[in-house]
Amino acid sequence: MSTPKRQPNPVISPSLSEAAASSVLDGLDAGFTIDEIAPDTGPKIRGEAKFSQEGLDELVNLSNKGGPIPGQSLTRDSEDPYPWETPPEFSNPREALDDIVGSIMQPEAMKNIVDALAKGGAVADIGTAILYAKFNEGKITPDVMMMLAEPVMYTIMAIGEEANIKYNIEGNDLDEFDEEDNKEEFDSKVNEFRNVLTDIKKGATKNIEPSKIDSNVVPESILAQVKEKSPEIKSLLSKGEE
Amino acid sequence: MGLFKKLKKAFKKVTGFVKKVVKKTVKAVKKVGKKIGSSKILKALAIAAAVVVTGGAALGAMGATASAGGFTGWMVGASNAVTGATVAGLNVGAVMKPFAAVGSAIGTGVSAVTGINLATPAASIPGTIPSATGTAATGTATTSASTLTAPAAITTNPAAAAQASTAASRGALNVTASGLPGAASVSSTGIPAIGAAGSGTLASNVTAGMSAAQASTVAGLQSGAITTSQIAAPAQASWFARHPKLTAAAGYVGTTVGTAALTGMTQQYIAGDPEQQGSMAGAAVEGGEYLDPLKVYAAQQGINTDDIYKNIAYGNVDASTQYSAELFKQQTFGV
Repeated sequence: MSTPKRQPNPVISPSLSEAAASSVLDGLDAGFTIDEIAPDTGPKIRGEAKFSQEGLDELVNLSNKGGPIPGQSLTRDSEDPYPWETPPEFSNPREALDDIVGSIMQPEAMKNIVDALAKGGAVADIGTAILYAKFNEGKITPDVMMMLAEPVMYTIMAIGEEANIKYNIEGNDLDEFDEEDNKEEFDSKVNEFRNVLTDIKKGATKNIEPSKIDSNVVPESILAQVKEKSPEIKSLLSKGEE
Repeated sequence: MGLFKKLKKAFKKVTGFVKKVVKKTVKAVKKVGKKIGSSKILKALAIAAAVVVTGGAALGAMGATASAGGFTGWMVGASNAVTGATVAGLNVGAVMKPFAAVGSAIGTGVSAVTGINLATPAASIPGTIPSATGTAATGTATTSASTLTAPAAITTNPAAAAQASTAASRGALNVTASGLPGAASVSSTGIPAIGAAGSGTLASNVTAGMSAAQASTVAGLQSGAITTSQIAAPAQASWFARHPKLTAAAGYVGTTVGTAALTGMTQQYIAGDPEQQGSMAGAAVEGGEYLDPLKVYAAQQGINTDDIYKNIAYGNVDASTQYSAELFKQQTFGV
């Protein structure tokens, strides 16, 4: 393990993604290798989403049940409100995050999250479900829920990484980053090939000097055609056209 | 648009943002000249984010490979480095811990989780009964013979249980009922009787050197003519009981002097030390808010400290460090 050259630079950002990105880049700059930051733990379990007819039927059944009738909430007794209609338990997002991450880190909850990720559940969906449940319990407001979406998602991602699962972030995007990597690799190879080809072409053109070509090897008629089609190379000091 | 549709849209935005940042980071890392797979960078980001959110507690709780020092330790070390941080000459670090808010709670909540290896969750989730044998609950069959073992059979009849327990104890101590000496076999042979004739007896040794009255009392006791209750000394009343007037006077004086002394002490305590100029009065106990350097600084600058921590911010330093940042120091209006 390499020893870091320096202490970490102070990082603070309103976005967790950016703070994490800065920390990783800072770590690399301080002398860590990516293998030290994210140790390789062998081949990953592919959390591929499997769609089935039963699942689709269940979804259709759920959506067929319908939603509340417009204005239904207004018919409810005001003395007996839903938990989300009362003041939230946590108005401070820090306290709410503390509570939510604490509950995610419980053994049973972690087991369920790992299960869901391994079966193809997306990080965004799991995070949404957790936060929505907290909102339903009257613990947080919708605003706080949105503020906590990012840290909760990253916590789930960390659990997935530790469980060595290749998870979906949104929908079925398991190989999205790998595909991009492959595309980038392909593009860079194509570019390399083009550059080499251009170099060869340039080099070949430079070396072709009709006067030096043996007339016994290349017939005069072909040489004349080459002379005609190839651009005339003029000296920079030559007299220009008037 | 309904609330839920709005929320769904907002969540999609957040997810899109996360992906965008991952891609941005991948590009940034590759720009540095390192050819690394995106999934590897995603892992690094997830680890770093978990460290930032929980101060390393989450990874530690999961028994993560990354938690074993290295990058995580280096990052978490930043929070310790803040201990010495100063804001406007005041030691903020002594009061603030950037990760403590979330990390401490997880530490308490997840103490039971410590040791989980998520790679093999079924085998290591706490609460599952280990296959190992020889636990304390199953008894101590393998211990030495002198250990008292509980009787194997638990009966509902207390007498039977007591009998079984005695038998078990005897068995454990290797003492059998027949091995115990019977009452008849114990004789007083060899024990000198008190008052037996002849010199060198206990009685003669005890009475030697006593006065005649004492010797007669002892003899009376030995013969049974006098009992111990008869020779007990009569109870004597205390000095205070014998002198009630003096006691009352002394009590009055003591109360008066004590009250006066206490009154003086209390007044001096409330008034404070007159020699220390500007010091707080003795009875004015400082609350926590006076001891908080950040609050002192914030109060001087007209900043509401509650707002700092309501606005969520992420990183390896406390949000309060922003106070000392150039942005907040620069002149915003000049004439």
